[in-house]
Amino acid sequence: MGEKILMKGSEAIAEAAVRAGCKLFFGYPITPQNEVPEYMSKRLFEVGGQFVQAESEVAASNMCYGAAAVGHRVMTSSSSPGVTLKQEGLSYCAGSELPVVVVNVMRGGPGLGGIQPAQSDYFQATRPGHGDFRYIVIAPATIQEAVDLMMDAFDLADRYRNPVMVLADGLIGQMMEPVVFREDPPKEYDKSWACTGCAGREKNIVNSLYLDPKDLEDHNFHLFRKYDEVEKNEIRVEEYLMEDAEVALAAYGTTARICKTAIGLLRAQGFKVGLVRPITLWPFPYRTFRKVADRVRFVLDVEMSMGQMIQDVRLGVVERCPVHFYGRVGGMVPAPVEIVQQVQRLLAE
Amino acid sequence: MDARVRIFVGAYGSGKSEVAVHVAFDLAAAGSRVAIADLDIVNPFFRSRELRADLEAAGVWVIAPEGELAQADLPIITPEVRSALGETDLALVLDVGGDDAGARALSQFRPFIPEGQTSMAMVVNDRRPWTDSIAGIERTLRRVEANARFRVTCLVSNPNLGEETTLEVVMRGHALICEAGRALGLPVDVLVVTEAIADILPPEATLGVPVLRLRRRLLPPWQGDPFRLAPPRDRRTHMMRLENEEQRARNAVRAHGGKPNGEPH
Repeated sequence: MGEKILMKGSEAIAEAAVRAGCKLFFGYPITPQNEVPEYMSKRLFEVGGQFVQAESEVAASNMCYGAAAVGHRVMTSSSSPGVTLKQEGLSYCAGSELPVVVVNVMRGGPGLGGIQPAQSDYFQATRPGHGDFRYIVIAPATIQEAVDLMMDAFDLADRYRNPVMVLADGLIGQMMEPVVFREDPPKEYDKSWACTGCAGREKNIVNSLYLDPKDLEDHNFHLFRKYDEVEKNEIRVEEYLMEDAEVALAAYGTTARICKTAIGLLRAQGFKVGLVRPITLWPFPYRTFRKVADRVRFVLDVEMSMGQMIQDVRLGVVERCPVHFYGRVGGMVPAPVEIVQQVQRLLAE
Repeated sequence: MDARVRIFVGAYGSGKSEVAVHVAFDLAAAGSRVAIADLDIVNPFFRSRELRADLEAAGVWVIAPEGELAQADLPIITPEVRSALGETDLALVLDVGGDDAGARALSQFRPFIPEGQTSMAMVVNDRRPWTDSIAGIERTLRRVEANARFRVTCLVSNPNLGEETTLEVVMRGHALICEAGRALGLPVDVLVVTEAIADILPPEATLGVPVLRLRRRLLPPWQGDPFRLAPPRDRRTHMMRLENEEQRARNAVRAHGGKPNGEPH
């Protein structure tokens, strides 16, 4: 372990990628994630890498396709409207089974929206672009967790040969917290499928085009067998003070931290409240919610959106208890006291 | 850093805004006529303009983009900065954005900066990535100076790891920053610590540098005051309109030599 340093979320995410062996970054600027490309533009040259500010997000995502196809660790980052543009290239990456890491530092929408933090890209992260495919989606709540998950993201991408999205909100991108970097060297993965020059061997083809319907169906079946494996192995979730909880909050990312402060206030008043925090948004911890639903009076889902993750929470709870919602949008961040009031109001009903 | 015009520069995230805001509050509490100008054109969040209401309640004139534009990622600098630089009875705090890119915002005011009445303090945190060594501090300093077109006159020692700051972090960092000051021929004017650290800091650990007890104000919502509500959007827009009207009125009064209104609103 190295020494603790104080880093902005975006910088920490970028440094974590470098430590994970990522030497290639292709992106396009957008607030509030500009510190990721900014940091990479300085740092990658120190480690013999390459930084390209592409002409557009679509171009950046296709540059990632190319870099991944020749076997390199590669990443891109953007914020909500930019991620929408990247969806095209990323669907091609998923179809071609390419390991690419994408960081989305969410801001308020729809449209241009604003530049303040939001969580309104849950849908476009967990129900991504065209075709039947998934991203593995991980959502950090602290800068340290962002660092650790970012390093894991490259391993997950290589292990499953699939795009991984790190879904952060503007606060994670912009706030500063102390972090320490793991010093284990990047793991090696079999990349015998990569296009590295075919002298002396069969040529490799990295492609997402299957004109024969039977072949394309088989390809989809293959992808979903892989996704079954991801669902079996990779679900991550934090249960906070749930042992004796009569009420469960559901939240991810920074909203979960606001919920923890609210839980402290509620517990001080004698209300037994806990939190279920999905860390992987896909695969989603349905089973945890199912288990929790039998023990609590209700679940209150809190998001900086109009209610997106709540659909998955409901799928997990399956009407075993009521699921309520509280959300702020447009860059408005809920204060802990707002959540306290919601819980008190619902308990009084 | 004791001059009529106090400029704060430094690397990204070195703590410039926290220190600048603290100094503005202190000056106002001591009865000075104070203005703080937010020249941050690089950060989208955690800028001193977020504390506009609190600062104005304390009687500080806040020079920053107003209304909806306060929330934009546009490199806006209000022209009031120039007139404030010329007001000889005004203590002016300039909160400049991070790194050389942020410092560039200052260079346009170079002809209006009153040489003998200005300090430019570089805030240094040795736990930040690019200023963790004397060489790194010097590199940042030279880049900032070149872009600001003004010389740094002193260092502000701000060694910290945020919530995880320990006495050891402060002592080791402060020693390094003082050494950097000696190497660069610059005085370290102040050591910035939280109340908790100030209470346990051995006197000899300050290395003779005065201590500034800082209460962090630019905090994420789960720290800070949990009871503080974000006003609903429509109310905020409405409040900003009110503030703008009040600001115009205050400026009009000031133009006639009056004092800014210290009443909270």
